Amino acid sequence: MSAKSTGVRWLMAVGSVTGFLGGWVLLAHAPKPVPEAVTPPADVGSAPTFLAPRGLQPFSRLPNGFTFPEPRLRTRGS
Amino acid sequence: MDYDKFPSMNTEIVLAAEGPGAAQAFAEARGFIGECEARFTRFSTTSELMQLNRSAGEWFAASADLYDVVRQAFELTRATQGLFDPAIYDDMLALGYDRSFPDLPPRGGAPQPARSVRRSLLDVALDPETRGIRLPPGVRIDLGGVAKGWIAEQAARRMLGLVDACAVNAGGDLFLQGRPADGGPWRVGLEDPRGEGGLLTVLALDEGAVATSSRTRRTWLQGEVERHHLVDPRTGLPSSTDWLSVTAVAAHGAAAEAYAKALHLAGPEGASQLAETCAGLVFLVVDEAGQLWGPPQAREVVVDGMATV
Repeated sequence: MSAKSTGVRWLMAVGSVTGFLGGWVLLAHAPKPVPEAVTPPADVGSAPTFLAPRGLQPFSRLPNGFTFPEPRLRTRGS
Repeated sequence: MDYDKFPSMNTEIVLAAEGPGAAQAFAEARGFIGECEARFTRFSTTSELMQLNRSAGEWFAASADLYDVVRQAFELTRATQGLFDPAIYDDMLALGYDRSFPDLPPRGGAPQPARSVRRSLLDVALDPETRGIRLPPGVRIDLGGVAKGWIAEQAARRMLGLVDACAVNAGGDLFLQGRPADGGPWRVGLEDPRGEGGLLTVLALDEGAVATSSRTRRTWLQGEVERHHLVDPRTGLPSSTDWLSVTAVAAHGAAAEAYAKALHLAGPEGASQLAETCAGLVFLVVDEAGQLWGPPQAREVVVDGMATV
């Protein structure tokens, strides 16, 4: 075996170990999934973002100055 | 559209009807709702409900109405995996809600220790042949979380024989029948749970039920602890959900009312999954910031032009 081929094999072995360790470090420190952040609608107060409840999406409220006839039937907590 | 309004069940009842028989329909509904109030209240020792509660452990021959409410309550307890469960009568008493709400003192006695045993309607026995109900020993039920929705539906069905379209609103739990003369749909305002009377949005609904569960109404003090009437059957204590209110739209009144409460207790993590257990159910949530949330299907019930962000 020549000195040159021994050196190449040594470099390849070092590279494999380094690559494995590098991959492990990257995986271990990969960013965790975070709850979906939703930009609030324009008519909502000052909070910058909301964390969406699972499977739900934001709906806008009635705009200020809502004009068409208010319904006489209403639902509320009883 | 003609309207009628009167107090019952410690809340305001609003009737709406379209057609020449409106006055007769209102009289029919008033009579039926009055009978139901007397039958289902837990604040009268002579009500049929309290007679049933005193018979726990033994068979009780129920009226057709009480049997149907308890049967539906049992099925909804099972469907919601116990997040709705009317076997909270004794929890209500332990929390100090032991009389009609207007008669509650502003501040009740000291809080009691947490209960050690959970009671459930799941262990009830029902006999449809005799309309027999056997509550498990030691179990007493409160129909406050289901009866108003059931009553609204039954009253509306009675009215529809006399008019072309009608609605019954039992303190926020509604049932809608037929189509208004303008072709509909029915328009129902969703009140802001943070204030008196303001609307957050308007729902456009066809026939069916809508009900709302809120933790900002019917609150009282027990010692120094604030209580509200949305009791978690798992703990026997008022819920600690992040949400202020949940509105449920469903085919039937009892289901809308029970699911509004169960979805409220399921909260941000579990509500969507729970909703899948009731075919056709749509719901809307109001969080502490006053933000409305709903599944994508909720677009179908929110009035056009203000549906989504």
